Amino acid sequence: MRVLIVEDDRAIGGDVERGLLSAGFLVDRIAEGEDAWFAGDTEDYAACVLDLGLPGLDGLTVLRRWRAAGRGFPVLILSARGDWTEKVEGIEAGADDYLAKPFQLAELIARVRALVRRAGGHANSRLGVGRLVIDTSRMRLLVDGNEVRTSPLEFRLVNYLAHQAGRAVSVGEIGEHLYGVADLADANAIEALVMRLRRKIGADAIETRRGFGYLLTGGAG
Amino acid sequence: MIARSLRLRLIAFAAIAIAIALWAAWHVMGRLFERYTEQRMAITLTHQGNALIAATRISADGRPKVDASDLEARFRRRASGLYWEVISPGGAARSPSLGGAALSASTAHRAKPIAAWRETEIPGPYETDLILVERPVRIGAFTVLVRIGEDDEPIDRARASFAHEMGMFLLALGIALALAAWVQVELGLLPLRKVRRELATMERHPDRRLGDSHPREIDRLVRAINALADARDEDLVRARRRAADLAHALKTPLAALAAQSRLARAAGAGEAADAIDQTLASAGAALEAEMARARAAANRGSPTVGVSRPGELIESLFAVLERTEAGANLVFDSDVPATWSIAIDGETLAEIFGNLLDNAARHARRIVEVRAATDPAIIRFDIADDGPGIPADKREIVLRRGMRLDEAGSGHGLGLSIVADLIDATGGTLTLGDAPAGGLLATIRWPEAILTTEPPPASSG
Repeated sequence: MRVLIVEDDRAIGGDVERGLLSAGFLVDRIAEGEDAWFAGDTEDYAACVLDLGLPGLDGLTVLRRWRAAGRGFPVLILSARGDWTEKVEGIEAGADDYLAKPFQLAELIARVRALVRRAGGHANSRLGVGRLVIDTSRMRLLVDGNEVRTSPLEFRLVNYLAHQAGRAVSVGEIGEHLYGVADLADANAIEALVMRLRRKIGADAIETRRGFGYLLTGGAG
Repeated sequence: MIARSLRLRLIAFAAIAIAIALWAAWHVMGRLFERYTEQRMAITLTHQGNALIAATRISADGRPKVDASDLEARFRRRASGLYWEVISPGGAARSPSLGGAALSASTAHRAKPIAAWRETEIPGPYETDLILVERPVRIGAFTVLVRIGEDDEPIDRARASFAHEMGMFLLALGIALALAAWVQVELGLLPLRKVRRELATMERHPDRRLGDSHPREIDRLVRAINALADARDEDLVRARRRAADLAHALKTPLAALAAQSRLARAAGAGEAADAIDQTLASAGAALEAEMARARAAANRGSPTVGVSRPGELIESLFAVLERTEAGANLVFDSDVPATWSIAIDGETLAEIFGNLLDNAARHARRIVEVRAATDPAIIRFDIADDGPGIPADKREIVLRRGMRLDEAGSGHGLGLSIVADLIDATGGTLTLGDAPAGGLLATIRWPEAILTTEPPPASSG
């Protein structure tokens, strides 16, 4: 599995490279923005560790160009600034995770592993329900063909409901699936989760069946 | 006080100028009135003088004889105020009104006859002054001096009465002019008052500028103020950018140093590497804390730069937190109205909510909720989690100002005390309490004035 490291500081770049190599990844290391953009655009990577302060093209621009070109590999941003505005900008540019300098190498490796697992761990399948398409291979949710950004929890909920084939699922069962335990205290959180999901995919996409639970219809398709 | 107030100064100057002008007018008009009435009197006297000449005969021995029967009756009443005198080389004749006294000697006595009457003022026989017309005239073979005089006391009386009435009128005029001056000053200062109002607005919303519909006279001032405000904004942005640059400049070497420490560890110097790592961790934490404090200080210097939408921002922060390990399995929910704009710049607001939400996410079990409300004169944001919360007796400690990160307990993100400092710098307060679901409830309160209806400026990024 190949990971791209984009970092202009040689000491940090070398350190990350050694760490990822010892964790069993193949590594390409690039120190310049334009080169990184080209590499990400033409090669297939399992993940990328991207520094934001780069010579040539800055990290956010590189990321935006990749995403605009449909390159979907998971990206972990490394940044020195570490403020919330930059985190928001990074996530909105299409990053999947964010790590502020200085960081612990062990944490970086754990996060890269998590990203690779999330992106590649599912069977390559697409499931359609009403106006929705659930792309489990890349954890993407599409409404009328347009991608809707969901949180991991929201995606797990919609994915679980989609696999119940027209069956209303009770709050207790949802709680058991999401959290591993059925706890009445979780009803409030699950209700809030459903409300948020409805706001993103349409109020009619998830119906409430009194006494039974929630039913994913996907809306009028 | 007058020296400090433009209005008082202008009104005082106007009042003094009006008073001087009216006082001068009063004097000049009094003089003109007097001269006019004296001239009227002199003309009347010359008519009577002509009649007197016609009534005068000179006897052969040169003595004047006046047939006064055609002359005015007042000449015959003693001290009536109207007198005549005819002086010839042989003697003098006088009106009975003089009571035997003579008029003061004339400079024109025995001069050659002239065609016009000469007008003069002389002391009269009865204490008052006389307006006198006189003329040397040839009657028969003699040059005779004919003089007619009249008391000027009626003129003095008329003048006094005129001065009184004129004074009253001018006083009224002065009051009217002063009122007009006051109105003019108020109207003239109106644009300045507008500038003052706009400046007060600018203080609360520093992204605003003074309008461009000002009179030409203060246009340059307005433009200078706007330029100054622009420059101050730029300075602030530059200062922030430099702080960020400094952080970047320090953090990358810190990370590089961490890499060196790992190399050292790999080479067997584990103890040294531990010490380096420990130092690096506290250096990094101190850097974060100082940056947050610098931000708070920058905000204190200019409490509100920019406008941002908390509803949008909080959803963006949710998207970040949903990608963290702690946040991946949580529900984040917010009811902050999307239409709300508040007069705090986006970066500061992102730090405030980012750190509070991050803290909540680290401790929450299932859900983190943000609830917005407007109490009277206050807007309130409640950030609640369903985690273990902070015991009441510890809350004050974590909020204590100047509390260092490691002292405040590293479990609470950037340190609630620093977030509290940041909120304080924006004119708000942070209090901690119990959330309904049992976790920590962090409540931010800002004065309602911070809520604006202005849309945030279009982002330039």
